[in-house]
Amino acid sequence: MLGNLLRLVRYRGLIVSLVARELKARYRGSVLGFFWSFINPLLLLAIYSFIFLKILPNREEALKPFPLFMACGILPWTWFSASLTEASGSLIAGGNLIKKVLFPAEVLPLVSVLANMMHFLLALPVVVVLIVVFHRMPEGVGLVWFPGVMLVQLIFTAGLALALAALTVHFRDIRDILANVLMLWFFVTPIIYWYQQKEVQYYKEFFDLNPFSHLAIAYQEILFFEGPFGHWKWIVALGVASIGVFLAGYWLFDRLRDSFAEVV
Amino acid sequence: MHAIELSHVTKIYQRYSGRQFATLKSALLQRSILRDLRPDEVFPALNDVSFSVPKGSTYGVIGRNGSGKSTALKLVAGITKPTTGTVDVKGRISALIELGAGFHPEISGRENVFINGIMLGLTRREIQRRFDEIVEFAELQDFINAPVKTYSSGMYMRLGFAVAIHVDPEVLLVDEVLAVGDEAFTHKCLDKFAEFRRKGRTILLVTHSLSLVERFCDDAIWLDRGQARIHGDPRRVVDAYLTAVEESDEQQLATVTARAVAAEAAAPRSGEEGSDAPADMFQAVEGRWGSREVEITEVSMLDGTGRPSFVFHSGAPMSVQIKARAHSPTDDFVFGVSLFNTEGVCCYGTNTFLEDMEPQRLAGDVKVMFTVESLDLVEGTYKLDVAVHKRDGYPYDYHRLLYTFRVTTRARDIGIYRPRHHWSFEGPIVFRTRKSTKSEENARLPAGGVAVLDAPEAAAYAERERASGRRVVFTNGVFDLLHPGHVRYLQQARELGDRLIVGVNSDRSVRINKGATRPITPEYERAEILSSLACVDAVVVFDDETPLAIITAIQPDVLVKGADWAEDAIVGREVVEERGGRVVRVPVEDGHSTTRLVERIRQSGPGVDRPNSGRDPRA
Repeated sequence: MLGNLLRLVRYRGLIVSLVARELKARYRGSVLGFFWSFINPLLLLAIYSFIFLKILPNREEALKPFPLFMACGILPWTWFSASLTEASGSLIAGGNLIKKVLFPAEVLPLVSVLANMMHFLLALPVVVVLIVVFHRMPEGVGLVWFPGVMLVQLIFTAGLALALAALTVHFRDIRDILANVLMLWFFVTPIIYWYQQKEVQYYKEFFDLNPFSHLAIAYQEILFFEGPFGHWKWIVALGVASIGVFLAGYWLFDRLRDSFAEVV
Repeated sequence: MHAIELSHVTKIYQRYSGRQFATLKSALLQRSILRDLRPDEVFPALNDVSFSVPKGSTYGVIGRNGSGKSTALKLVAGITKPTTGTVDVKGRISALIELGAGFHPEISGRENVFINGIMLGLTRREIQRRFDEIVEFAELQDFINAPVKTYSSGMYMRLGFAVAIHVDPEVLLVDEVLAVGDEAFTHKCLDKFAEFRRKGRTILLVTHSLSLVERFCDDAIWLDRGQARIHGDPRRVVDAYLTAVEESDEQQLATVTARAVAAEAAAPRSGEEGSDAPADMFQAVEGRWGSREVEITEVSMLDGTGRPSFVFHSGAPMSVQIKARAHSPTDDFVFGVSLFNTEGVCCYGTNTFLEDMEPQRLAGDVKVMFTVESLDLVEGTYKLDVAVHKRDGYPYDYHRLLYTFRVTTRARDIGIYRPRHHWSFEGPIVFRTRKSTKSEENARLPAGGVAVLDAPEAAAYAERERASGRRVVFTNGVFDLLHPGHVRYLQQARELGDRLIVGVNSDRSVRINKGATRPITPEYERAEILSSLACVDAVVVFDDETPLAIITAIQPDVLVKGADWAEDAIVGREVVEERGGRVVRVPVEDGHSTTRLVERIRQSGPGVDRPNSGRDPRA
């Protein structure tokens, strides 16, 4: 397993090329091209803002301006959920490669995760725009944490992606189950509401168990809330756990690796 | 040193048939997840297969569909792992298994070349360096910047092929991919393979093209239902394979025929006069009709030895044996047989009445035999009509197209009927013998000319010449380096008769007889040189350690050996003398010996001391 893991380093060129190809191919032929990575989250935010400002208004003073608050959680969530959705189908979609070419299969789910990370980065200007519009400069010290939080999310997502990709080869239903699980997961994560809202406090332990809560909270504290980044302990702990998740996911993937070429 | 070695490799595919529609949900509900993860059925795609491919050689893998060829290739490529046994491959592999696997349709050919190259293990810089060559090879200069989805399938495959071949692997795995382009591109691919061979690269070739294997490979293996049936010299492997294909054809035809007959026998018989007879007798519709006052109880096709068979060689004898039963004695009966090809064209038809046999009496059980001395038909599947009827055509029992047989030959001629024929030439007209594939050999059976023949052809040639009243002389030897001693010997041999056939030991048999360093000259070259001598009429390469089999096949009138052979040490003497032929010992000149010649060359300096690989020089 460790040997295979080291081999991944050798394939970094391949991973980079494939991620670049994903991005290029995604918007090939569209008029706005990469701009869509920016427009899509903007439109999503517009819809959520309309609902939660006009129809079901969230009256928490602390969450104003609400669009900026939601952007902090929705953009990472989109990265996370799209990564898992794509990764779970990645081995089946790349069946030709696995069956016909000597090809390190783990590259495929990782490319899904990394390509979506690139979309996330391309969508970050949305946050910048909102910051400018609402005159809410985040604190410089907190921003130093931003790449760290991203790294934790990357490792965590990659671990889940590997496991899901490997299992989906054997159980195709996972893709459908996953869609529903992600929907539920989105709503139990403090993204469109505040984790310190009094309604949430009843279920505090439950929220603490949700790894993505801490990622969302971290992004919100860094980019939105005033004051120092107080959630760092959770992020460090999650970082350690993520490495465990990644190794477990990779181990599962490695175990099932030989079956891919036959079952896909 | 080997480049690829498989030892005792077994690959078992697991079929999860019961789980085909099982889902995670049902697996969880029924708590059967563990049970379901176990395979219901196993399917051995390869069973204890061992072979090794020496570095620098080209190795062919043949076999029917589903025989494990592609599995073997995938194991060598490392795409799948053997269940038991080991696969050892030395050097960088490139697998031409699925061309263009991994091309992304939306992006340009150029970008795909880079990504595909990286997938196959090249670095960006290496691809950069080979890029122009790749594009030129794929003949896509004008389209390389267009998205791959706009490519035709041929362009797609060519680009895939070009990238894979420019990976410049030490071991190239090829799976049936030569059908990717037009004739010119195929030639280019073959040239590229030849270049690989020259560079000492190893090629593992999986193909259905037997002629390619014969022409191109140094060794071959025939896989049959996951097992290695035979490996070694490609021609022999191909021969063995073809023989087996015939056998299984035979079985299949036997089943087809049995089914057709059974279906007709089971069908309800409609009343008098055989009203289910087709309106148009020349319409080829399977069936059986007739009043059955005389009944055909059994029809079988027999080969030359009288054994029931369904596959016949073109030109071989064939008999149709009809067993019939007259339920009451009759004096009005005609037996008829006709042959149809698959297009329903009647190739030949006749009956006893047409051949002036006036029926007298038929009672009880009889056996009727219709014998064709030489089935001069081109390759194909044929069906047989067998009937017994009255002189006026009233059918007793008419079996229409119920019996199927196949005619096989390696010739590629066309039409229906193959007349016995040969070519002869006068004047300044020269042919070079094509030795590329056996299938072309019938076209070059010599009349007065010279050719390299295989054993059956040589036998046929000898028989023809004898039939024309000529005396056939046979001698055999290695003829590794032809020297004047040989020439004089052969001239003398020729003078003992009218036609001289020379048997040449195959490379394999020379190695057995004279050791691994011989022959110096491969068999095809030796045969070619011999065949160009004025005194030699035909050359036949034989693979046995002794010429007994070939002498038995040719049945020469005169068997010539060197005088250094003791009379009773001469192999085949009995065979010749039994037929009234004679054995002549021709004096051998002193001072000429290939063995000494070889030694002299070896001593005279380096460069020639490499044992000949025996590789077919045609490739």
